[in-house]
Order: sequence, then structure tokens, then C-alpha cells
Amino acid sequence: MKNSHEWDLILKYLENSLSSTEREKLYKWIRSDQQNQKTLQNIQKIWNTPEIELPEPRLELAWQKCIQAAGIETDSVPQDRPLRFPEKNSFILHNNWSKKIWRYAAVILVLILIPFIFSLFTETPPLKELHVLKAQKMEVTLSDGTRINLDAGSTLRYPEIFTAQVRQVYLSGEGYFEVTPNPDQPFIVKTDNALIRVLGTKFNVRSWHKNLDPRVTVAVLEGNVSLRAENQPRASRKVIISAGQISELLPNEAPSLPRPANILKYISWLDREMHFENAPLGEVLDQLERWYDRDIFLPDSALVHNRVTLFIEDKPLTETLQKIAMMNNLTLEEENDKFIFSYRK
Amino acid sequence: MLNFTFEILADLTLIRSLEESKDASGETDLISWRKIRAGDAKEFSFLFKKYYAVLYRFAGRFIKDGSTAENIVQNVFVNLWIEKERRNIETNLKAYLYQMVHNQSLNLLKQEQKSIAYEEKTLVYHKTAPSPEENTAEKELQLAVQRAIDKLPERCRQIYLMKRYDQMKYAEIARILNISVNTVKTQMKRALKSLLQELSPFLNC
Repeated sequence: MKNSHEWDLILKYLENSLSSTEREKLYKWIRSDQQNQKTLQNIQKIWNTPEIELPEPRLELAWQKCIQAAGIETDSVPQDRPLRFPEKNSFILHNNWSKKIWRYAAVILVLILIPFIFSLFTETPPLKELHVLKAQKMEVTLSDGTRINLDAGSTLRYPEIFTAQVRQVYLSGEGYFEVTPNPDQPFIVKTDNALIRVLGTKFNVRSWHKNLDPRVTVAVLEGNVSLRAENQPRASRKVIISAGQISELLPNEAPSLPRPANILKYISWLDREMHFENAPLGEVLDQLERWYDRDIFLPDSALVHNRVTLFIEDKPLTETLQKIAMMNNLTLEEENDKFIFSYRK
Repeated sequence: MLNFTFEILADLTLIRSLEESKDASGETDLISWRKIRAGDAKEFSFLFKKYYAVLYRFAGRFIKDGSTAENIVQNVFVNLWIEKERRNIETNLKAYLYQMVHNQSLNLLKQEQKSIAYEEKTLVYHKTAPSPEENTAEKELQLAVQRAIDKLPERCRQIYLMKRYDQMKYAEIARILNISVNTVKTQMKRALKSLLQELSPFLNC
């Protein structure tokens, strides 16, 4: 590639700062030549490769050394140490009797406190529920800074503040996650039958639990994610999905071995675009109903099993449905906000 | 029929969020710098804790050695404290710290490049134990990419590392290296082109 203009677009693409016209230009360039497509894929691959990490920084040690070398008095800076109790007991106990009283009081106090302390660790705070209406999408930021983009029809349940040892949220539908790293408090996404565990990364989860699409699909952009079936014995079949890979989980099965895939395809829904390859027609229509909030009818429910390969773009619904009609030898009518397919006569 | 071979680029601008607004911390940094200059050790400890880890990683990438990186960053902070009355920082404390760390790393690198020890260090750095969970193909690519980055011309390598792994904006890189934004972008393109070429046998198989 010689043209410097394309490289400018690629730089912006890597920064996620393309405008929509620039993105169009880049599309065009990719479509114009297989080689261009390959080039961009390769750049993406290189870019997504994580670095080989250095040992973790030893912040406290470094700070102590710094204090010494700079001659800073330790009294003048806050210390990250547990509070110490005063050396001398401030209570003066006069005799055995009052000692006993204190002992009983201490026991009673502990008994009173037990349920309270216990509840601190076990009680799950009330969850907030967020449902994205059809034809909408939504971005939500959680208390730890984690950002989630939700597609139309999705539901997310999450605590207002993460207080437990893990950060756990519940998803039904499709969401793109950018999880704030925190090694001390893993982030877990629960769906109907899957547990997805991460430390800090970017990934997409698709999980609609429909008959026609019972899969949970996890696609990872950055970092590592572990996926396992919820009802399976712990860790028996857990897969680690790395950046650039996807894994799928069917009900009552173990997750598929992670395989490399074009991850951008899996998050193109953010842009109201989606690829279907040999997918049941019913799944495609479900997606369209969620995006456009219109009812679509087939002449025969058996047709939902027809396989279609289709690329949906952000275009008027009629155009996409016309394509589907053509592919399945159907006709399309629009009637009172409803779309009705019929058999061709 | 449609041609399904082309790949789709997602519009990530949506996800991009408020990264842009992060630069506002420049103001708070300057306020805390004024306190530090007046001898506020507590404020200094906050600054240290805010920037130590990122500066350590930044230096570590350049010189490929954790403990040397630790020393460099500690030195920068120690000197900053000792000479606080004499230092005049009026624009951006963060950029200033990066600059200091960068200069020190570079000096060290120059010294080392004169000696043979440099090659060995590269090897030591690459020997980081792989975690059992990672698959080997992934690991191999990671190593190949790392080697290819190491082969870039020095300035080019720095800029690629700062952009990709320190996730800096072009303007930030330009400020720290004291060059124009255009130069930074030109170097980035150069880096990508060399990496593509260097890694093509790896990527196309």
C-alpha cells in the first residue's frame, strides 16, 4: 500500500477515531482489493497482540526507598499500614468484678455483632435492572468504571456498587463489555447457562436463549476471558478465550474450543450491522424485530428453520426484508406497520 | 448476490467514551505540584502513587528490564523532591515526568548499546515464563511481535510502544519527545509498515 491517505485512516482506525465518512472510505478501500483486506487484518492482529509483561511494580517498596533517598520524614506522609491500637489500655480496671462485667459485655457485643459482620460479607446488595427497549441501544457505566454497550431487547442486572469479592452482573441478550481491570475483584458475567469470568478486558457476549439460537457466543477483543457452563462441575470444562478468539456454548454442553475469528464481525451490531452465515431465518428475523421494533410474519412457522446467509446493514427494514423474500422465494407486503411474507404464487 | 468475503469494520467511536476528557487531570496535577513545591510531602506521596506504576511500565518497555526501570523512576521522583524549589513546571506535570523518565532511560540505553550486554538483555526479557493457560501459537505470535518491535529503529520503536502500550495520544507523544505531531504519525506509519513486512511470514501462514 503506497497511498499515505489510507495509512492515515488506518491510524485513526486503530485509535477508534474514524468519522463515519472516513469509515466509509476505509470500507471502500478494503472492498476494492483482497490484499487490502488482508493488510488490515494483519495490522489488527499485530496491534491486538498483548505485550510481554514486566514483573508487577512494587509500589510500597519503591515508595519506602524514595522516602529514604529523598530524606522525607515518615511522620509527614500517610502510611499504608493497619492502624495500631494505643499501647496503653485506656480503661483502668479496678477489681475482678468489673473485669467480669467487661468480659460479659465483650461476649454480648460480639454476639450482637456476628450477624452484622456476617451480613457484610454475604448479603448481596439489591440489583438494578436495565432493559433496553426494541429499536434502542444503550451504554451504561458501572460503579467500577466498567462500560457496557447493550443491544435492543437486552436486559442487564447489576449491583449499584460492587461490594462483594467478585463483580457479578447478569445478562440476557447481547452486550459489549469493557471491564476495568481489578485483579482483586474478578468480573463475572452470568447468563442463563454460562459463567464468563474476566480480570480486565474487552469482549462481546451474545446470549438470547431462543430456541433458534440457544448459543452463548463470547468474542474477545483484548485480554483473556474464561467461559464455562454454569451447570457443569466446577472447572471441568473451562475454556480460556484470548484476544482474537471466540467460543460458543450450547445448552448442556461444554464450551467449544476457542478459535480465531474476525472479532469485528461480532461487535458490528454496535453499528447496526450483522453477519449471518447459514443461520436459521428465525434468528435473523428475531434480530430484525429487536432492531426495528416491527412485527414480521411468515406464511408457515416451519420456514424459521430455512438457512440464510445475509449481511444486515443499517438500512430501511423493507430493503433487508425484500432480500430475504427473494432468497426464500417469498413475497413481502407491508400492512399496518406489520411485514407479512407470503408464498409466491 | 452479496459478496461476503469482505470484512466489516465496527464503528468503535461509540465505545470510545470520554477518554478525551481525561486531560483535565493536568489541572489537578498543577495544583498538587504547587503544594509539593511548598514542601507538602503528603501531596508528593499521592503524586508518586498516581504515576509510579505507569512510569515503571513505560521505562520498562524501553530498557527491557524491570529492576532498572524501578531505579529510574525512583530516581526521577527523588530528584524531583530534592530539587523541587528549582524546577519550573508550568504546563503539564505528567508530560514532564514522562520526559524525565524517558531521558534517563534513553541515556541508559545509549550506554548499554555500546556494550555487548544489550543483546543478552533482550534474551533475558524474552524468557518470561509463559502461563500454562496460554496456548503456544498465541505465545509464539507474541514473541514474534515483540522481536519485530525490537528490530524497529529506536525512535520508531519508542513511538509505537507509547502509542500502543502506553495508549498515549499523538499530541502527548509529541510533547514528551519534543517533536511535531506529524512526525509522530509518520513514524507510526513507518512502524506499522515494518512490522507488517517483518511479520508477514508469520501472519500469512
